[in-house]
Amino acid sequence: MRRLRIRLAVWAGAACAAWAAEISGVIVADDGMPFLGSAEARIECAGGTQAAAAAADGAGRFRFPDAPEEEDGCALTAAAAGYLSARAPLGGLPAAEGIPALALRRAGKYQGETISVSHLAAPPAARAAFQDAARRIFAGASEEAAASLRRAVEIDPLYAAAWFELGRLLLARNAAAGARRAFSRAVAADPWFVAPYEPLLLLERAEGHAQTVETLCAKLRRINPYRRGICAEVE
Amino acid sequence: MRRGRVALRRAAAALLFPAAAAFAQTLDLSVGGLDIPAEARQETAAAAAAGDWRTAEAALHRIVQERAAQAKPEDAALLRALAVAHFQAGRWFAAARAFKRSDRIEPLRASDRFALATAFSRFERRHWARAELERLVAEHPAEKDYRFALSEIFYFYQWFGQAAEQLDEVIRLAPDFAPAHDRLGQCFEGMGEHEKAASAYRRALALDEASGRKSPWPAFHLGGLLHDLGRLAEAEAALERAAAVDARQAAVHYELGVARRKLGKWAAAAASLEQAAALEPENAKTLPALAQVYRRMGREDAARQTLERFRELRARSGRRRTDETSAPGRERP
Repeated sequence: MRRLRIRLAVWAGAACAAWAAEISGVIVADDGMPFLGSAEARIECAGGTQAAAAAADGAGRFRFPDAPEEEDGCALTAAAAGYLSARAPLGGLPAAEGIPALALRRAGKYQGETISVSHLAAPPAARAAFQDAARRIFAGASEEAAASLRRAVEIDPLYAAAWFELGRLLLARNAAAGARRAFSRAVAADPWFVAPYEPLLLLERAEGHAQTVETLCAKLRRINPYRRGICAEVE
Repeated sequence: MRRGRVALRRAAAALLFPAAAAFAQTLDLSVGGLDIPAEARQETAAAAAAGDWRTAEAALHRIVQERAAQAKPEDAALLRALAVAHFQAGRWFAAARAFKRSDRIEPLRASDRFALATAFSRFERRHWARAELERLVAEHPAEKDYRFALSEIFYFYQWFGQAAEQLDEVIRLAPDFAPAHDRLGQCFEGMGEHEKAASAYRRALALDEASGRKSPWPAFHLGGLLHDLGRLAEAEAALERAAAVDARQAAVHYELGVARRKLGKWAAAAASLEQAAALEPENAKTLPALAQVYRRMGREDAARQTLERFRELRARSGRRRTDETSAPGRERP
């Protein structure tokens, strides 16, 4: 989060007591990645009045060129469809650039099951490779995206989210064996990341690996005994 | 002015997350052994000693960024220190990220892993917190705090059986730990076992009384349960006890006001609901009940004004997209 303050009093002379501030920052998703979808940042003041709004760009960055300066009751908020809004008091923003203060959380009760914590722990180079892959997936360049994901998991073999995305790309190209390996690596890297279980279970079942299916379902039941899905058929 | 707001926020956090607030005080930021320039070490140490965590986190963050720019490998101890500064500054997401990066290089100490789990919970990533807490419970089976925190997650998910299992173990380890009995009562209540719930709440009350711990919640939960069961006079007594222990809880006054309204004690009901509204003036939930009571007392003007205020708050909350609104209710504390 970047906060750059310009004291007009300094530039315009001691007689001027007015303040202006530029606030810029980046909205991140709750897995720590830049928010790639459509999001909006707002400054809201006491009583719910909206002081300013700015749309975030494709990488989650936003900018308020002329924001109120630490008014009582004013807060910076961020909102996006499918996410719970994030809110930070203007006076409580980080003093340093790059410390995220606005992280959007996905709506839903069992928070975190379908996103991997491995994003948070991944080294910067691996995260950059993952982001590059995400951009290429959006652009429809799946070959290049797969190469970026392979680079990400090479840098960080415990990058479960990257293994999962690689598995999905391979599955889309009918490379079932490669996809199965990638999903298995995702589950091994982050056993609490639920997303890879389902495609992996389908692939393992198609291969007739009943014991592996039962093992995976046992893990899933431990994570969430109330989540049914494909394992309901195995019980 | 800023200091005042920070103090207020910390007080509110301490009320809502007493365990986390107490725990935060035990997290130390030892910069002595860090491989950082002496000037930065002094700046960070001075800021931490003064409780100026924003300055401390900024200083440490700058060093981490500089190391990254120089393509130096990440330093576990430095990231851990940054995580502590973020945690103390109340920046849970940033704290969790720094702890996880540190953990990848060198496994966290138990107290740091607990801080990581706490940050995840505060950031509403309970699934991730659960993974860390289950690891802590496996590694330290005799430590009650980890199990208790795990039970909180199961309780939040409304997995009452799993929460009760953990709480049974907590009580076996620390039979006099009143919050565990109180939470166990809530689990029983969730499972529909009302007598067991009331018994657990009473046990928590007795332990609080014996130890001198001032918590309104066991009496509040007991009062709420009795209220739901239609035992209004007993509910009122329990809720009065909760209000006597801590008069600052809007939820207690609200519940007491509603129970008194059902008992036909209009003046007392109005007093309780007014107290709830005064404690949480931005909360609309109390106002319709208060307006009803005013009507029964023949105070039409007061009832009308209260409903106008209710409509105003509702319209305002409809305009705001925030997940931070709260309503007094028995689920929250």
